[in-house]
Amino acid sequence: MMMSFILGARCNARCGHCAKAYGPTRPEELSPRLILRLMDEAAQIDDGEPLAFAITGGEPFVQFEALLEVVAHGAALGARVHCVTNAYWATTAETATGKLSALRSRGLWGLSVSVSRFHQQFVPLRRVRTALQAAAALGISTTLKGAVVNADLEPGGELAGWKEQLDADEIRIFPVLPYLRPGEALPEQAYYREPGLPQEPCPEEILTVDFNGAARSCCSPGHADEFLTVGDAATTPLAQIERRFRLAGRQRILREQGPIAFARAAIAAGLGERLRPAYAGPCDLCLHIRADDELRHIAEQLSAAADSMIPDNHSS
Amino acid sequence: MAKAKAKAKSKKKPPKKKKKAKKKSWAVSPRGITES
Repeated sequence: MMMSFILGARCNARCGHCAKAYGPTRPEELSPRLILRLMDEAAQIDDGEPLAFAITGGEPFVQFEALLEVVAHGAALGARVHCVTNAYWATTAETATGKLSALRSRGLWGLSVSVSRFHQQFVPLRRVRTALQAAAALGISTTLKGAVVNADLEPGGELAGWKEQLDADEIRIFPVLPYLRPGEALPEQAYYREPGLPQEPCPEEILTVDFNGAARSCCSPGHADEFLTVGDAATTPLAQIERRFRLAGRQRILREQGPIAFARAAIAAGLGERLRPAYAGPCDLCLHIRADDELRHIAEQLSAAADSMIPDNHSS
Repeated sequence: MAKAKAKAKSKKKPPKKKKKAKKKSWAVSPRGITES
């Protein structure tokens, strides 16, 4: 089983593309005790997948003691544990090696480092490089996660700079979606989009527990509402949440068909004009449907119909 | 027979291959914004 935990809402940065408005003054934290309990319960669930935990935020390194504790616990259960960071802490090679050695000794398997034009206003690119290099030297699997707008893809744009200066075992470049920090705005033409409705299913469905205990079937911070919530992990046994995650109609539709199933139903209901002519991908479409009351209503109807087809319905 | 056995043996122990480096793609993939 794979799970992701949002350790807290606090972050050193206040990135413009952060839909959840994480930042230095956000105090919310997911209790390490709850994470440890959920990790224990996850280890008891056999869904055919290897046990893996991702620790993210916010910026998990601002809660470094808690990070050490949860990494150690997950690794002791035999899980692959990786954490996501913006690398603000990698001020020097020595500092980076010190932090990562502590995590490595507790069993950290992988490190993902985020980068974008928004991050770079708070974290110099050389710190991203320093963190990735230090992790690689310690045998930690590295991933670079770059979020882009169209200007970044132009010759001489941000992406070209990353290619030149950064390296990791895995590179993941994904589009900034039009759900930004409240008060922030970008012109429509800034967003990466491809014409038509995206055909792909949900590309990275993962059971994510937010700092408030809400468990969602999404890796994206844009979904901080009920649309993809599958339970309250603080009060509900994980096995029950996992069952809903696996069987609930909405999650099954997104997993098996993708958000295009909701879009097709909206078109059939005469709401096609509410859809955009182009999307960045399935996440963009899913978020759009969630954010539009009428489209969302159609998705909820379709989901409810799929819910009722579950034998021994435990979907609510 | 001996030839067949030798062949089976060689199948059991394939020559060591160099680990292939993971493919790295700097192309945009249609994912959402993951945390952090």
